[in-house]
Amino acid sequence: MTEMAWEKPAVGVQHKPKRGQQSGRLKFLIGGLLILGAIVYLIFSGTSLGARYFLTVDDVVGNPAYLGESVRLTGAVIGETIIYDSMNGELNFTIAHIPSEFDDLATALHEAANDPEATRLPVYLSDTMKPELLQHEAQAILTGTLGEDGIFYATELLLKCPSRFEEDTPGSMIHLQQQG
Amino acid sequence: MLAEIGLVALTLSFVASVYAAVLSVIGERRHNENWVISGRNASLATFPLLGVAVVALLIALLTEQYQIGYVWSVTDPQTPVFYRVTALWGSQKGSLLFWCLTMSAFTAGAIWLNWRSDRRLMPYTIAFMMASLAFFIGLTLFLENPFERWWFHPETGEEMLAAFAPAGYLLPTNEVLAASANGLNPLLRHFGMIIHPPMLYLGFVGFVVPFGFAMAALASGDLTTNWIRATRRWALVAWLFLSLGLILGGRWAYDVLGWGGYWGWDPVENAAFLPWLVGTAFIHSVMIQQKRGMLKVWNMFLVLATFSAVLFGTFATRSGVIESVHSFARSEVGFPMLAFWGIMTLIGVVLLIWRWNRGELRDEHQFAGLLSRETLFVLNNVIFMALAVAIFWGSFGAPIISELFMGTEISLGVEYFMQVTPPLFAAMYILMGIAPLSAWSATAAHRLGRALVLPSLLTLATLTILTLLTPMTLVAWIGYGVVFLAGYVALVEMVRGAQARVRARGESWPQALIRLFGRNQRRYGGYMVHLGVVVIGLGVIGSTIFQYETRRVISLGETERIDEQYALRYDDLSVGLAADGRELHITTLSILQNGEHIATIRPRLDDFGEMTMHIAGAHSTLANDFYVLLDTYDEEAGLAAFIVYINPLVNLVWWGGLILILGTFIAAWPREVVPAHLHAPQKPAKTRLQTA
Repeated sequence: MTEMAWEKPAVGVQHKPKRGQQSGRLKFLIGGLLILGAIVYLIFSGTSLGARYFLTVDDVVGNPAYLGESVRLTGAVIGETIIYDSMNGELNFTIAHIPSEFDDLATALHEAANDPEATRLPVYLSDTMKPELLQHEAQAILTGTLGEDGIFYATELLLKCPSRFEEDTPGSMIHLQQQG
Repeated sequence: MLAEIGLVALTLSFVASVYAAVLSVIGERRHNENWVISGRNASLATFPLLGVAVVALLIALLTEQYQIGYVWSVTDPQTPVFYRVTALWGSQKGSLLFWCLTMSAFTAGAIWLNWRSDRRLMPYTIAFMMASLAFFIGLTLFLENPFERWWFHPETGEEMLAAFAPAGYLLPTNEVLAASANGLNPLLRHFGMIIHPPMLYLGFVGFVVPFGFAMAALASGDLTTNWIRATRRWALVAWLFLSLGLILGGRWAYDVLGWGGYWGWDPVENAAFLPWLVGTAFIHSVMIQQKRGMLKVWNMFLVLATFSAVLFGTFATRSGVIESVHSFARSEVGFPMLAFWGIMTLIGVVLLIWRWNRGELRDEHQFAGLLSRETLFVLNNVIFMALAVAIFWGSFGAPIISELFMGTEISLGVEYFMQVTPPLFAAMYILMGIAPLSAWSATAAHRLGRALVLPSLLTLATLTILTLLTPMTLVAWIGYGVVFLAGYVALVEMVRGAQARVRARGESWPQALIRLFGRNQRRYGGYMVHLGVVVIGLGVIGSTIFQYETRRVISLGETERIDEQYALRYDDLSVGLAADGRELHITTLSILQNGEHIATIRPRLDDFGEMTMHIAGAHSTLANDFYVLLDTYDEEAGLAAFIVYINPLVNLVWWGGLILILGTFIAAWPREVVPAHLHAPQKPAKTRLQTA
């Protein structure tokens, strides 16, 4: 059964606003604008405080504009440079500039990590555990500041490993069956 | 066989949902009752059909059918039975199927329970709900099919996943596949992960019901409060599950991810928080339309925005486009999801603008006073929406806009969220304290002030005690102040209500409290929810502002002083093997408080071969969590490095969550189930008085 509890439609009910109503509306308008202004200011100031440019190693190395600035940058990890002092929680490794001419991230990372000519940047992290994905040719996304000694002092480290995104297959096991 | 059963059931559910969506609309347009009923029956059939598909996959997981690609990818012969069940939602394909089942459960429930009372709205409601369900079943069937099997070519040795046997390909034997099976992602082997995803899914998909009814109201022209009455409880249920999902997600992160926190402002976490914020605004503002016939356009917008945020959150989690510990791997579902999000949002906005332009959504009252309850509720909505916009901007807006228009990606770090959200949360708590004391239409400032005297005095007294007993900062003082005020308002209101009953009817206090809640579930359930949010707020302030973190290297048998109160003694190291094959490296530590042994904890490293997890050892009290992670150890030197966190009040976050859930249960519990003697006398609703 359809419920027949219909409300009287409000369409067409128009009242001429009185002076009191107009001043009330003005109050709401001013109050609303003030609140809106405060929220916009809050978001704007937060944006300028928290903004981190996403840069490459080439952008940062040798560019004094970024000295001491909080930046976010990406590079390819060079496996042989990874040194972890487990007792002091100190992690050192070097990243190389990732060239932009490759569509495939895995190829770009491979080229970057194995090209001796690529721009390199040493990285230091303190009070840290050694991340599982920190390995040769992994993509490191770092947040931190570039010191005057040319070392990047990272406070955050995110790692991407292209092979992790490739779908696994049973691979050789099926071949074994085939041979068997 | 199981794969075939699953495939057939999934295909039939897809056909049924498309059929139901199309026939419901055509039946309604042509006033053909039989077609509408046929559409309804088809939509009801999707639930058992998807149930069959899920059960088929579950049996395949339990009976180790590794020929099914999904089973092979999320379990292996070492996986315990318990995790075989949870593996159902352990990866994209299975979780999408499970998602479809939960959505069909909600749609079937809504059709079953609302068919008679909301007959006029049902055809379009079914159409919108089924269109959404058909989309997700379609994704599962065509792009992320969990019933695909492994096939191999005997000559070339090529292998592939396909639903049906490609020409010349054969099925490998189960034994061979078992040897190479993946096993469940170690991060998902945790109690929180068993119920966190289902709760979050229920919260997400549950909003399809309010969305369906709202769209039906716009499409059919029945723009009275019928759609709100029909969906209020559904919205509350969805909100309840979403809250539960968020809290459990926080708990999982706290226990498993090993960084001493529960909320990292990660984009995927934020994506799940957005529908909660918009949904909370909706749950509040809907009361204004019911009581005062106002905010009709705004409520429609909010319900649309909530579902839109759900779809966006689903895209963020499932597309793999956004890098996060919470997201699934990169997947082909990204573009279709983005397209569906855009299309559904556009349809909703166009319908809303169309009805608005026709003048059919005009409010029945004007805002009267700055301190009226409706004004304060609108302010509350502004704050929730501001939080949603600010979090969306920080997580997705700024990176996308900067990349599109500035040629570089600018991301906003935790600093952004810590700068922008605290003032907005503070405003939310202030309104939570003031709004319940205000009256509809207009409130005199002096009356409101009088009502606030007692809660304010209690707040000041509590703050004074806290300042004397614990370390305090100005920010914490303000934070605790607004949170306590909101809490005391809710408590004082409950006590006043019960006291009135004790005096007038001579009831005992427990009796008066139970009857108070029974007679006005919505109001007092709401206060209970507020109390839960207050307790969560106290936990968040304590654990954020006063968290202490340190890294210590301790020799075996030695005691290390952590702060003035606590010390840690490194007692033992042992290595063992768990049933699922992981190697456990367990340290035993004694926690000493002022020299007294108070607890033994066992932080450990779980070595899964391909990855290691740091599982914290924690001593939990209401005052704090003493949370220790084993970073690394040197057995020969007898040394181990630990990361120690002291998280004050963090357990209030979980306790607050429980109170919030209890409050939502009370507010959403069907009135018919509450004993009759607890019912409040029925007042004629205002809208009924206007019946022509």
